[in-house]
Amino acid sequence: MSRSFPRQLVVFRTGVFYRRYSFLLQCILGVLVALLLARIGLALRLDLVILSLLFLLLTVVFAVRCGFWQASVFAGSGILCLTYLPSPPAFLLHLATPRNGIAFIIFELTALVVSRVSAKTKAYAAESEIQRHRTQHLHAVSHNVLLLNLQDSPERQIAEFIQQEFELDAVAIVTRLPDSVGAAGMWAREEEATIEERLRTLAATQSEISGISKRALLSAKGPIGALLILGDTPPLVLDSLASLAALALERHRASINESAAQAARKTEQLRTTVLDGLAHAFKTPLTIIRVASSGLLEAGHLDEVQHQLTQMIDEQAERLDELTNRLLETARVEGENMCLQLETVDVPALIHEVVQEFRSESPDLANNFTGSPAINIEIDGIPAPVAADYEMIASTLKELLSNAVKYSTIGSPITISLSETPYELTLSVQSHGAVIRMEDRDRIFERFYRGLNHRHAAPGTGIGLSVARRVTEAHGGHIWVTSSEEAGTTFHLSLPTRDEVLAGTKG
Amino acid sequence: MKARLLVVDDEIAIHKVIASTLRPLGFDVVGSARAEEAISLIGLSHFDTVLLDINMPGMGGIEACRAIRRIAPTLPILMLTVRNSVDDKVEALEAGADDYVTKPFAIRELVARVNAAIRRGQSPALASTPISVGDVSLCSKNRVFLKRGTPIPLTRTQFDILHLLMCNEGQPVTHKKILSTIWGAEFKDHIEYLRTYVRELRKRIEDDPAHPQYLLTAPYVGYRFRE
Repeated sequence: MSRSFPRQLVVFRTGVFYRRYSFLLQCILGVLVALLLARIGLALRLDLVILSLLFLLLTVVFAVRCGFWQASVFAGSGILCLTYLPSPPAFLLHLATPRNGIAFIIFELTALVVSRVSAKTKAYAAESEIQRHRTQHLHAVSHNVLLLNLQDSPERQIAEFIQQEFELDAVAIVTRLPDSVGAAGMWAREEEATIEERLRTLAATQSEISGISKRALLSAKGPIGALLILGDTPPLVLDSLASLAALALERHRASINESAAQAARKTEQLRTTVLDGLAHAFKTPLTIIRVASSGLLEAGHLDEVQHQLTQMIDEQAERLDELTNRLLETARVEGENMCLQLETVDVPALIHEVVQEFRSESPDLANNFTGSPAINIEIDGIPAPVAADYEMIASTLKELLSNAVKYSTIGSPITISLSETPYELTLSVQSHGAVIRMEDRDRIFERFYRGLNHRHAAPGTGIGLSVARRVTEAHGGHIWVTSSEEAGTTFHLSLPTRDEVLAGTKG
Repeated sequence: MKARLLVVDDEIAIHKVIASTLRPLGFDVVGSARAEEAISLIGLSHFDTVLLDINMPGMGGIEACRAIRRIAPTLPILMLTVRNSVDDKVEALEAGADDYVTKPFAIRELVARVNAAIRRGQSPALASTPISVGDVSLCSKNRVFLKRGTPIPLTRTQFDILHLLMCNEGQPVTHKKILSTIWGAEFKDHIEYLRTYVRELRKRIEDDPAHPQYLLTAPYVGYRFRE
């Protein structure tokens, strides 16, 4: 290897020298060849016509290989040599016949025409070659941006690809929303904070900056940033690079969003699995306790104390089960993407069914004991059906009803009514009892919060209304309370009647 | 004769507690922790009812329910569900279960369900002449609901509910009446339970379950079949 090195160096230096003085060298070569040819012609006493044809051939070769001026120099030297040496009278710059003069003009004209044609072809070929190279580079860049590393800044990666492929001085990509700067090449060597600031300013200015080419990066949704290039780049290539970069950025962002959505889905799946596991874990011992305690009570043979104690175990196990259900339900609805099972719900039918169930589940209401509240349903007309999760809305209504019974004055009626606007259906549950204080009206929908007035008055967990709010919001609706001495306390639950409002919450 | 019960649950403690509490009440209880084992047990000897846990490792309850239905089409199957989700129950009913009990349950409720299931299993076959209402009919021979000539297969309980309603064509039947006729007097207040069945039935027989054409709600009262 070490031996071949000096030889390579020599070749390299010769190459450089030849490139720099190629015109001069080619002209000298032309003169020498003309002299040589004339001398040979003279020595061999060649016919002037043959010699002229030889000169013509070489003029064409010079025109094709070297260019017009080189060919002209050769043709000129040729004419002089032919006139001076082989053409009679020899060794005199004098033409014996006008025929020779015409021959010389033909030489010159041939050189002119051929070199023009060849120069054009060459220029065209060179241009095609440049185009081919650019296309190759563009292809390489587009290939590379398809393989962007998702973990790394896409801006910097794209800038590096472009800079390396097109051998540019420096390239930068500045994007907005999210704001990011990716730089490669010369300016990447400066301190990161300063250069980022400078590039941002450069990208933002409207005026042209000398030496820097700038193109906006346009996505389907509008401009997303700018491409800055320091170095010589034709406008067409610049346009292509800008659209390539914009496409790559857009694709990168889409795949980032996709993986975020996937992660959210996975979290939700995990959450459901954990909750189901928890439900199973809690319910198995609870089942065993309840079967055992209720079995003991059923079998008899217990004295009074034993019976009482077993009864307590049974009741408390039942209560624990209810609390577990509540907690699991809360955990389930607290998830980021609450899973609603939407169906078309006929709300009046739902109200009737829930009230039926509610009556049958509360023995006092079912048997119409004195003092138990009457539940009235007031629905006018046929409201539009809504897209909702039947079970969720039914359990929310049940929660509102049980709250109304718990906190209302004994003997006062509870009224359920429906009202409709073009966009939403509002379900109201009105009862009469203590007025809910203004400062509590929003907070009662928070988890574990119970109004000061009620903390000791009625049993409850303070979970129900927070779940109700979460359920309503997941449906794209809202829940609120109004309360006054005259009108009583009314909980309002509104649900959108147009399907597209729900589209975002599905799944 | 003592009724024979097969309890299938991966928790051994559940077998133990059910066996200990049901034996004094006159049941013969056999426990199995694996669905595959339970299926072979059913093939080998006679049982009056199967209690099948829905959530088991290996072959799950739903799959086991389908397998049992294939080898013993008339054996009453009660699913033991844990979650309060309707999906599970609907899935169990679709797989051919006759009924479901949500864990945790009191022994009285379980006994009532088991007795109701056994009673229904032993009840004589209904009149074999089909009941027709408008363009639909109910064929008791193979428990099929015929809608405009298309047969829709039903489970035993679904068939019984439709039979009761179609016999009272157009007249509302109260929740209590349906519950006590199909499940027994102890269940007359379990309206939520009935609702689950009605929703599942509507999904099967109605063109649009949200706007039922056959199985209608009679507000405050119960349900009726369209005249």
